Amino acid sequence: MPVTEWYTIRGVTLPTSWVSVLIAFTLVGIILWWRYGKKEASVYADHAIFFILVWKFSVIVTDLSLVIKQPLIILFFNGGTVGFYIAIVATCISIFRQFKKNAFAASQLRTLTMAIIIMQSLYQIAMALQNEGLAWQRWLTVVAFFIWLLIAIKNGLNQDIWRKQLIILFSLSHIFIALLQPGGFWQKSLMATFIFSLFVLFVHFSKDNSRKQMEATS
Amino acid sequence: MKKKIFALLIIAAMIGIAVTNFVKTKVAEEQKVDTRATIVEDTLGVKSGLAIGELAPDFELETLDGKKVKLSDFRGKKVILNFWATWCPPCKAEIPHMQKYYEKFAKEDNFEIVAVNLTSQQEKVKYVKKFVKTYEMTFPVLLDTEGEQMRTYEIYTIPTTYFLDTKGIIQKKVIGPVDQDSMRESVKALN
Repeated sequence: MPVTEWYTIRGVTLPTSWVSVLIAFTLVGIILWWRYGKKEASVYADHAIFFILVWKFSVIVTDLSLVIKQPLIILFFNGGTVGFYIAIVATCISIFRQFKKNAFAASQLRTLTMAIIIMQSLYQIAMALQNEGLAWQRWLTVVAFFIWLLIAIKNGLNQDIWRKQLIILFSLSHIFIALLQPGGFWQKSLMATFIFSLFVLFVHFSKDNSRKQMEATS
Repeated sequence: MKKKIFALLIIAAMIGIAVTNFVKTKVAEEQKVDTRATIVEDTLGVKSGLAIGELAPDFELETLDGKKVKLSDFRGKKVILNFWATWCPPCKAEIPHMQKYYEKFAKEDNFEIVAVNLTSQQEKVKYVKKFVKTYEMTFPVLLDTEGEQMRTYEIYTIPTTYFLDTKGIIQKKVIGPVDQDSMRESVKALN
């Protein structure tokens, strides 16, 4: 859903996308804490904060010439669309390094997949509820992603095969819904789903590979 | 999930995506109208005010060259009406973004930036001139020497930016600095 509404809080105007991200980040943390305990939730929180920091400071890379001209830019702006993708890639690399260190523990893969599906679903629901669009587009978004929210929480994503299948189906259903939304296919949120889904599949592939290698050596 | 069910779901999703895309493209083609005919100076009956959907109050101010410019001179173009001052840090951060966006997309996105300097607020014209030169600003900078427009537009925090459509109607108000991406997104959403 594109941003059509903005909130003005004292001296700052915030787009609904920022508010939706904050709502989603917070609720995902609470859900993970409730389902899997403090440790899993704090690992998630570390990566969420890492993502925000990289996005914020990526402005140094995306607008270097402007930053040199006016360093205050770092304080007031983030890296925009390019910075958003840099942050996603950096977060994926950071998660992968941690997973590799922990020998691709199943619990972490489960938390990652669940966090991605819940995060995106909550973001989409929040955006649909806050922004303008045709009523059927908003309700389709809310209902479809609410179903995904229930599937992810209820299923628990404890098995490799479930995680792989569900993340593929989640991506496809997100494409389907995005095509019916006012923003169409080229939405940052859909691209985020793509990148993270490919990452989940890549992590599973790496896990299978490392297991095979271990079996071969033993 | 059984492999057969999974495969069926994948196929169903792919067909759904293809059909939706096809239908959406067809509908978009049919709905395409010649928008040039609708860009008419049709502001009669639109209330002047600061709320979204109201006609931005017109004014006449001097530029740094002493030329008199009216806000209504820019009808037919989308307008980013920005209120700023040289001593305001967020304005200093925002202006390079504005300039970059202006240089790159002013023609393509059919917009004009009207930067109203709050000259009545601890500002001197020579500082504004120096600032404009330092930041290589090429869009019109107007001087609100009496503070009249600051009061009319209820500017309590700077920068404050109004986004006006081609008819001069306010479509969005943003308090605080705006970057290139957000500016472009906002301008593209205007009629």
